[in-house]
Amino acid sequence: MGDHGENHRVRIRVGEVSRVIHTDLLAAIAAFGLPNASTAIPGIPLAPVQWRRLVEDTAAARLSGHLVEAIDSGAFAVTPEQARQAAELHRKLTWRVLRLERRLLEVAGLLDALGVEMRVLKGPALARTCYPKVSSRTFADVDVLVPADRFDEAVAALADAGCARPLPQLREGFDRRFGKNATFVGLDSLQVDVHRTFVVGPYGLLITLEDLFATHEPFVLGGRTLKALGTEEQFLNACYHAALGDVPPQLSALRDVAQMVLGAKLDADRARGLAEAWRGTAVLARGVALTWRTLRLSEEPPLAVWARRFTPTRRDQRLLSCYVSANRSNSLKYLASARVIPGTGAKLAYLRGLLLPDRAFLARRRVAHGAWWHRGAMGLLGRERLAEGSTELRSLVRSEENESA
Amino acid sequence: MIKVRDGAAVWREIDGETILLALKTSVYLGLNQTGTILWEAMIEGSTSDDLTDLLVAQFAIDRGDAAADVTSFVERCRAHGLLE
Repeated sequence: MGDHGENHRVRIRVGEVSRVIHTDLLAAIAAFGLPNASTAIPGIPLAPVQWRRLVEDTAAARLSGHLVEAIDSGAFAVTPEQARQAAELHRKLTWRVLRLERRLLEVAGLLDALGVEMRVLKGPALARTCYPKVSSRTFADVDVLVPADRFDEAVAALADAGCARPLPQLREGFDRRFGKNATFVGLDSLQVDVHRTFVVGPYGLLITLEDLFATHEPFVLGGRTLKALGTEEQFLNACYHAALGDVPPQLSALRDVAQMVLGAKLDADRARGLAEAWRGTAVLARGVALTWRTLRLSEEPPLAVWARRFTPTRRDQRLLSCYVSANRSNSLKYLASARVIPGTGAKLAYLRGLLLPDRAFLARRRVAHGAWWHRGAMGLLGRERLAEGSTELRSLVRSEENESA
Repeated sequence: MIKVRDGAAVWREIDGETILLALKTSVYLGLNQTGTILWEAMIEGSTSDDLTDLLVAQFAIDRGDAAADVTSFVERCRAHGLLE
């Protein structure tokens, strides 16, 4: 080999090392208390700068419950002042959680009065159905799922109750047929998401929505019995959130997945059967594999082994890339969505919603139709992907023609 | 019978203490370990005597003191609309 001077030497800047350690530490906190957590937690208190950053990121990642438990158990060495700060942070976030739970009871009351079936999603339900200690799981908003055919009623009820919807739907009836959720914000800044399905895009559209209301798991909040999704449906919701949500994934979502896989209630075969029926097996596998990898969990139950060995089909690779690749974008999700919507009429209605949004939607976005299309073409697709998008559209039109024929 | 009213509050236990939001008055209340023990018993429903017995058994205190603590606690909960 030739002499390349100093170039061959590995260089790691101090900041990079710090970032790696910080990421590992957050993952270790997210995994704290799981029987197979393998990432070490510091045996000596962090320096003030590192500690401040950890507290901020713990709050953002909704991991304060696990942080406090790690400290209280003695696993995470802290100074007395750091212990006080951690407890104070968790107490502050818990106050907000209680306000959110009050809002959840209000929403439940509204929908109950209308006779609209509801399932509580994510935080409030998971805290009470999956975690040994309710206080471990905090959350930042309320998510409820309603049947698609009652979606408009539920949305109207929240609007009538004074909740503001910052962004209206694209066209009348669009969300009921194709949307993921409607977001509402109260005057107190508390957010409620009324869901029709788990995620935006093709994987959300492929879920058999009736399945989500076929079973439920009850839990009690403030003396009132509410319904969470059934155990496996709830688990799949966590997997969809972990696998297709933020990049990098939210650590609290990964913890939810691990908590359920390692819990006693989950029927892994039923979960795989449901995922297969929803054509979401790749999502399930990605959610579980990502959890084991990111949280560095040691022993693998059969579901984790299966997930690690799973190879997505080319179709799934294409769909997953809409959500998680470096080129991910809403435009690719929209195009992929159009492909999975069954029936020509429904496909056209979907595309019409995207291409010809209502004036109310555009006004709220402060764009004209022309600007919306321009943004769709250049902003959402991106210049470098315009050709790719055009090819997708042509292909879609061809498949429509074939379907019509 | 002393019982927490359904829909009166939402609460979470943190480190042996309970943080509680009274839904009628929108007041946050913090219950210490003693209050948490009484609150948990009141969720299921209990009598003053049973609550007093709980405190005596838990903290080995004088029964008269325990009864006074229970009365005071129950009155404050009632003032916040938390009880049936």
